[in-house]
Amino acid sequence: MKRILIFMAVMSPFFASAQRDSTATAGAKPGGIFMLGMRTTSSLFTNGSNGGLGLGGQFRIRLTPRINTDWFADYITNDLEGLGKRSDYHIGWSVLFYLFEPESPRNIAAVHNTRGYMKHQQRRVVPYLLAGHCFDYTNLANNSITHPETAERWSSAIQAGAGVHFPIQKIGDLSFTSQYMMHLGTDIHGEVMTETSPVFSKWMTFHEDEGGSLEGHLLLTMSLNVRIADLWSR
Amino acid sequence: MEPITRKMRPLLFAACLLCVHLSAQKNDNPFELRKGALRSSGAISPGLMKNGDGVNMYLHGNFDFFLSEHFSLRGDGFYYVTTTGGFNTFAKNHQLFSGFSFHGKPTGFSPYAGMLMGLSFTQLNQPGIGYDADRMGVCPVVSPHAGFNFYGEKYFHIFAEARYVVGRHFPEYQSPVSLNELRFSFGLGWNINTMKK
Repeated sequence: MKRILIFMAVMSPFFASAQRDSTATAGAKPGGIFMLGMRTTSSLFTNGSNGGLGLGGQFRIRLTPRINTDWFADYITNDLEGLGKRSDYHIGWSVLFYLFEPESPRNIAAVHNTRGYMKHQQRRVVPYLLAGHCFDYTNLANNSITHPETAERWSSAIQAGAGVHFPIQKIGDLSFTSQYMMHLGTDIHGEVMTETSPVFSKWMTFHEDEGGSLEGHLLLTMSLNVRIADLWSR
Repeated sequence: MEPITRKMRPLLFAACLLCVHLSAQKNDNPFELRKGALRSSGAISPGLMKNGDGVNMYLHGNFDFFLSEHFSLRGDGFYYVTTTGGFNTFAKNHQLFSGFSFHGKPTGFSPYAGMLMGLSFTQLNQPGIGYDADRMGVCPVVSPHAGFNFYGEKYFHIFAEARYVVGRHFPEYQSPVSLNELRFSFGLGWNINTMKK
């Protein structure tokens, strides 16, 4: 009898772990959610720029309850000290790591549905960290009549930052993200030139240096995302 | 004031009659916002620029498609007509926006606020150099907005709103020009529910 009891005690964890977990989520599992959105971006601390404003779009595919992916394209314009325009075109992706599961497990016990599965209760605030890659095209153009000049470059970039979703019922979410983007490419930069004869004039000229350079900027993004489909829900 | 022509008299009479007719109706079936509701309006919108000495006039069209009774996707279009009372800074300053609004009560007096993002299609008016000296530039703009709708009838509502547009135009041969502007719109709008309850 003692042996049987010991055997049962040893085996009980295996029996327990083999059972279907009645508190597990099913049916409404959040992986596979596809969202479509639009975004506006403020670009700060760009080299030689007074700040920029951008417009873009994005879609999201959520891989697991705690991992989401963000695929974006942005067009950002910057003022070059009143003497020119810098245009940045970004296309890239980021992986979002949720600090907490967006569907709160705390409240799950209270929301059993009739099929015995759990319904997820959406958190009101969903913080996350993100990191990703980006490819970029940058165009610089001055606004001088006498010395018109342009420069351009292609670069790749990495970005990392943090953000927060504010879910809007089951429709989608409003998201705010702050990320630092670091570009690796050829070095192009502007220099302010002046001449006093025959009349005072000031313009920006551009230089392209040999070799690679690192250049970064801080991007503050606000986006609206609408839930479109659940791609692989059971 | 120009005398009213004979052709316009029946139109004016019909318009007056319509107003009397509408106001005499009992409101048995007032409009209620819900998922699938669509509202739209057109207006003439004056805009005040921070450093401008005149009032910019726009034709303004917009719509809201409601994803729930309190949340809508929104689209706005502004067509620049002219500037009154000052120098015409722009030859063109048309803008397209899309974004969202949060709405208060789903019926009656319903305040709302939201954020729009979009593009401006701007060209400076440079009569000294030649009208087309500046190329039309396309630049991002954003616009927070707030206002109210009053849904008194099944198909019509009254609206008033204010918005602030933020952006910057980059002329080809000139320093950047701020597009920051405070705009007002008000008037009559239309609304329907496109989905059944």
